[in-house]
Amino acid sequence: MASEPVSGDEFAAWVSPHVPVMGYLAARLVGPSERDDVVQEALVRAWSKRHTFDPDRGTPRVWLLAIVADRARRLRARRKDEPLLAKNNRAVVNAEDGGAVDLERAVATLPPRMRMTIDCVYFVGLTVAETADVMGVSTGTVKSTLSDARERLRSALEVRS
Amino acid sequence: VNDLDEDLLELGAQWRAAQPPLHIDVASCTSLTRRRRPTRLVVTAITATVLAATAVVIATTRHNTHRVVVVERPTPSGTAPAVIKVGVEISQVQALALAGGRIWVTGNSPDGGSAALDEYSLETGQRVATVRLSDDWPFAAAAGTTSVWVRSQQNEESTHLYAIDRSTRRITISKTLHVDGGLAVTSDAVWVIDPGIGLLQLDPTTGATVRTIPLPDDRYGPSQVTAGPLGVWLASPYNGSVLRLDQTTNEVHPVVDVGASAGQLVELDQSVWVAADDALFEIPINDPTHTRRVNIGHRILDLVTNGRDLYIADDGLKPVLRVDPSTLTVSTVALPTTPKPIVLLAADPASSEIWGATTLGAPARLIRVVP
Repeated sequence: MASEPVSGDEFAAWVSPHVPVMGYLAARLVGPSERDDVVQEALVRAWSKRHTFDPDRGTPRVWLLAIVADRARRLRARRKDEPLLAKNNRAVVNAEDGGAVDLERAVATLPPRMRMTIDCVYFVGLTVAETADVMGVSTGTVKSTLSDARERLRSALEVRS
Repeated sequence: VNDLDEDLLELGAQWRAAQPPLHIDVASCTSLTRRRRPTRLVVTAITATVLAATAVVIATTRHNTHRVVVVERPTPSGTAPAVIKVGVEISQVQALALAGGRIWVTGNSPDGGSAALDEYSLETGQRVATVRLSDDWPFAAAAGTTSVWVRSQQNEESTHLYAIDRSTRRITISKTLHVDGGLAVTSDAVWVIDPGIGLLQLDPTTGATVRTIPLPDDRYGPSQVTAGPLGVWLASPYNGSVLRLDQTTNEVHPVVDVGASAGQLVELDQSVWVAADDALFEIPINDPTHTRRVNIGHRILDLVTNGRDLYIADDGLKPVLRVDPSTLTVSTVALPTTPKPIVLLAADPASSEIWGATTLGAPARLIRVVP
């Protein structure tokens, strides 16, 4: 679609392919209990602000994900004292996978910006460029943050082993 | 690097596969758009009625986008109320302020439109005035000497700081900020955190920015602020750091790290007290290394002080908790009623009064916690 959707049906068709990834990002940022609320609120915002979407400045997917990130951050601001990224957001369903548990725990201890970068790239499945757009930083910053985060993770895992 | 990269990719894929399906009705989102208030400069109505020896005056004015409804009622004789029912113009209370025998309540409008700021008399329990804000989501309020200050947001690109004159109930200052953050008001300054911009000191009479102090970690830095005799203190929910403003150098320095989620903070005696997740920390300003911790057991939602004790609302569905600052003893405050959980508190150090608000269910109620 060259420009923003006009009708409700157009909007639904426009956003539907991106709803699952919006859910992934919301789940990483606010946790499973508030994931759906954040996605729903983001979609309401997207509908009301659809005229501001500029295809020359990015894809609908990134535009929608940026709204999800903003909604999640504002939700935490309203709750005042929530950490940046959600707790109780376990990736590992197989408790016997000790290595994965350690890695997941190590990810949880990363500073917020590093953790968000790791979340966007590895858990939500975004590209470096998409992550940069969602976080409002340059691709270079994402790459360097990823490098620093991996270094921290490696150190943490070495200490535990 | 490659092994770690592959492990992370596998972990991420495993996590995505384990996610339960979303329950989203995309079609309904297009019918939930919030209304924006029209901008008009019209005085719509002024109505005055005199009833016998008492007077009821209702005046409705539109000033820019802000409608002011003033309701003056006679003061009845009898005891002051312990519970005040919030008017239907507020569907969910978001912030409170308390001073001079008045409590200000701000929250969302039931129709999703512009938020309201209600003023109630603690003596009569009656609503004295309602001020309409142009944003739909207020999130902080504080009472100053002559004004009540409210921070609110409308959408991704709009957040404001309002000053409402306590005498005229007119919005005298409307300052556009960038991102939502903390608010603290003293007699000679207003402090706001505008994440990504910094800590702003504002002139309380004009709202003009007196100075901007850079903060660490850009938009993910300190977001809570308090100001008082012990100085200006900040807390970061993102890394647990508590920071202090050095007003001689205009720099903010970390003082102590209380762990994750450093939230609201207040000054009492010679210490700064910080809520951090399910614990309360005392940070003696003369020796911050001797931090004391009080386990509350549930996540702290609000923290205030009346100049004698600390009061906490938590998410444990308990009544309000009182913390003795000397002994750190935690006790439950006996309330005049057994309402839904109190999740917001407001304190007036001048009178030592504490009030709380319920936000679940309509109508919300204001509860006198400490007379």
